[in-house]
Amino acid sequence: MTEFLLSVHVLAAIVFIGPVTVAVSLFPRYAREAAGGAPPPGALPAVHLLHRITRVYAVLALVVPVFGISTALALDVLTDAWLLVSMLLTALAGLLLALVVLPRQAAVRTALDAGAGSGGVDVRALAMGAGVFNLLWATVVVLMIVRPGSTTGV
Amino acid sequence: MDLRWLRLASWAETVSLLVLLGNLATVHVEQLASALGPLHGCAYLATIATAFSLPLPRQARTLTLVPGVGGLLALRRAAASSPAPPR
Repeated sequence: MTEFLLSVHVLAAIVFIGPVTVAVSLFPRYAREAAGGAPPPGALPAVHLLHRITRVYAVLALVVPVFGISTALALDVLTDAWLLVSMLLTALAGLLLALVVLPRQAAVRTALDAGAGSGGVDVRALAMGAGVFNLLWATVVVLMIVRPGSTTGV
Repeated sequence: MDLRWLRLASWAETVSLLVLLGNLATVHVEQLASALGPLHGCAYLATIATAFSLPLPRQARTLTLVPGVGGLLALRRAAASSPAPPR
């Protein structure tokens, strides 16, 4: 049963969180293009699609921590230090996504739909939020692989 | 995103809990419990996340926090407070 839980956890991490990392880092670029003087025709639809991917896959990504905790319980490693740190970082990344990145994306999208030019759209904070999110996520993945202090071997 | 997704997550939340309880009361297959348990957890969280990303009344959003049937309660509240007839 542990194998099943771990498989779902890893598969969901690849399939659901992967697209979020790509979408959050591409969003500021296309938002900047769409807000520029002569926006390319594909920029605004790209902004809509990237926001939609971020929003939908962020909800689907909830599968990852739930099945991760189930796996940890089945393996009896839930209170290991590396896992506690990973869970803390995951929680931070999730809060960043839900409270900073997604609301700001929605605001930028609304502003662009209303025809805001380069003056009305500021994506610097959004780009930084995306960078920090991806960094947190990469750190958690490395922790999951290295598992410092674990005695079960790789 | 529309109410369809909230409906799906809510039903998954309630049905998975009923199957879990049914399993516990009758045959109690361990494998079914450890597969459906996390699934129910996901449906519960997905219901809350979907409700908070939809333009719902605040009471309907808060209702999704109720374990097991929160999503369905929220759908009922949302239907009662909106003037549009249910589809």
